[in-house]
Amino acid sequence: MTAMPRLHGQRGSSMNPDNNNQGQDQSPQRQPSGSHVPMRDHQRIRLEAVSKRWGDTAAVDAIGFDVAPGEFVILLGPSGCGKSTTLRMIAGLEQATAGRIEIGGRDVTHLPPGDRGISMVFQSYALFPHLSVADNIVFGLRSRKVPKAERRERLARVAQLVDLEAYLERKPAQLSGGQRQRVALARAIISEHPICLMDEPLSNLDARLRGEMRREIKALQQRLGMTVIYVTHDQVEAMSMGDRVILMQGGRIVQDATPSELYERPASAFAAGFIGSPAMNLVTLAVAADGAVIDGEPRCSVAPHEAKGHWLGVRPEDIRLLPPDAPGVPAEVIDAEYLGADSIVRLKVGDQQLRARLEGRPSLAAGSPCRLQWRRESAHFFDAGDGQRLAIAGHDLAAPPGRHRFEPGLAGASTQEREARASSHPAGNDSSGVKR
Amino acid sequence: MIRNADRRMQIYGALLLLPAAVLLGTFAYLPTVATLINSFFLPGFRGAPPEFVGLENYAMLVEDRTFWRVARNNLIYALGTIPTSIALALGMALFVNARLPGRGFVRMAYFTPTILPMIAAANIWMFFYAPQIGLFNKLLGALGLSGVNWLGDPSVALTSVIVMTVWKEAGFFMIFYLAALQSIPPELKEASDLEGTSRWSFFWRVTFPLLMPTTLFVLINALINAVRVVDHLFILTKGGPNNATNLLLYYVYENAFSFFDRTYAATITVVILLVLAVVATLKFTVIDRRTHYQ
Repeated sequence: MTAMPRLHGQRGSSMNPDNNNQGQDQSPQRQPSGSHVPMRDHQRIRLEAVSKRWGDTAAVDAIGFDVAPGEFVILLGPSGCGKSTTLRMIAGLEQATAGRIEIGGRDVTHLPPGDRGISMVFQSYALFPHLSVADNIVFGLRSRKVPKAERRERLARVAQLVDLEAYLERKPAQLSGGQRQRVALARAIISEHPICLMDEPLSNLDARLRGEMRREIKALQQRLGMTVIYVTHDQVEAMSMGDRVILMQGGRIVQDATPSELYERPASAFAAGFIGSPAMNLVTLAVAADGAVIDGEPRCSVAPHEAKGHWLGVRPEDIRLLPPDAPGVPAEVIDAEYLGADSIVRLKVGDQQLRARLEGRPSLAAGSPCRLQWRRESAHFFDAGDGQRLAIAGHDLAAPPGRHRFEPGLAGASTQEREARASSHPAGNDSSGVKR
Repeated sequence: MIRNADRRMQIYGALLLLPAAVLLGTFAYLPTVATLINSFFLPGFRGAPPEFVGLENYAMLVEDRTFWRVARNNLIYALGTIPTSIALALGMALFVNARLPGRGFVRMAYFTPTILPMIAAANIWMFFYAPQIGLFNKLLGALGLSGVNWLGDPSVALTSVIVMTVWKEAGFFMIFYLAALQSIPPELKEASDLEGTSRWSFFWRVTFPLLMPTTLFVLINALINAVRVVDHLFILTKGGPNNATNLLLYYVYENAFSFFDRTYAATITVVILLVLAVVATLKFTVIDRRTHYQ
């Protein structure tokens, strides 16, 4: 998109790939000329034990969270988890059954949507088909009786911002999906409400356009200092755009954390399985003489006794494949799926299956034996009952020392280790495990 | 060889077209042309062949005061029924499109007059309008007011017929509006709610423009019905009193089957067809340009 270089140009040298701690200190400069710094207080959103029930079923079950001004918060979860309902309750399109919603310190639980000072981008864009792009964008300004001259001026500014100047006279039907999406964005921006809610805004676009719009929305949000709550079921969008991700399941919050925390320290087996592609391997542990072992594979203990009966989770990208005479968990190759940059290898351990992501195209015959290793930090343990994370440290599978000579034996093993180290670094790239 | 295959395709296409063409030709185009030809003749009496008189029938039509009276009646009838029934239909559709208890029942109630045959509906309304035993006059009497001769008073009769027609047609048009309303995505309302758009403003800026194709369709239908449907006149007034409720098509019927002047009836029919064609063309060219089709 042509809008990208301009946006980046204005942010200049302050560009920093890590946007987590950038939200607070730099935001005043990123304010649009129309809004003011005191407005920032109006951007805080707080939900307290908010529920939505239809009959006996609770779509949203007493959830609560805070959104700080300028923050980009993602509501993530599978369909039916209540994320859209939560967003619609914040917007006022749905009445909360119980609980309290505050925006800027003001109780808005029972206010109509128009009085909450928010704008919203819909999944279907919700453009008025009979109105031109320009009329669509200024629709809300006309409702709020903004004088014509100011309308025109704001329209010009916003149209330039989202790169729609050439299309203002067209009808929505004459635009491509990406352009329609930008009209919807423009309509949200022009209201100059500091808070913008987005309900799966990219799900109607094709994969390539989605990538572009992801960057564009993020850049706009940072440039305008908007507070955004963004609903999606797509982990890539969540990981790449969010300052914070709220993962939901069955109307409840599973984990509320930064993308890197979500990836590195999933709070439950569900969170572990939801983030990452392919998902984290989850295997049950059985008891053996020297600790807990993977069920069906008693030869190599992977964790202390207290882990028995629970789940072990290891990300496919954290698994290293070594020759059969190296230390580690004995395994057998089932098959390998070549994806271009890497391959997904299915492995049989005991009577369970694991998947490993290996770089390139390893030559592995089906049925060939091998050993698996992972770093201690890469082993996650989850309660077999409620799936909650357990504070257990796994064994170091590379011990006994002195066996390191086997490591370079298999192609790609050393790069695997480098990757694993990079992803566990605190300021590391959030999305290393979520390639599509 | 290629030409052969081509010809076969043409024959195949023509055969597919044939049933519709035969039906339309026999029952629509042929009668139209016959009517047009008839309008240039005077009927022959006692077995004599019809006499070609050119435009004489049309000249007579222009002089015919009853015709102008009937045409004026029909204009008032159209102006009285079309906007009212459309507005009513839209109002009812908006009402039953909203969430309300017993919505299905209300929709059915609104649609019931449409299911009734016009003759049956007219018979029901006879009991409403009857001077002594009629419902309306009974109600007025209960309030201590003297009754009105709804169908017998020349100054009231046409209005009475109009009211009954509106009652009959509004439910039918409501169905079209209801279908159109349900095709409007609910997000549009939500998006405008977020901007604090009032219900009134949303209706005029979004709902009504999006309903324009339906309005146009209903408008054409209502216009055609205003000229085409005269069944109720047979029951209610028979065009009286003193032609106060006589409408064009009923006048055609009278000429053809009461006065046995078929060629004059044909002449009036041709005029009706011409007027309808002009109005429909005007509507489609003027309103269509401003209508948004999805």
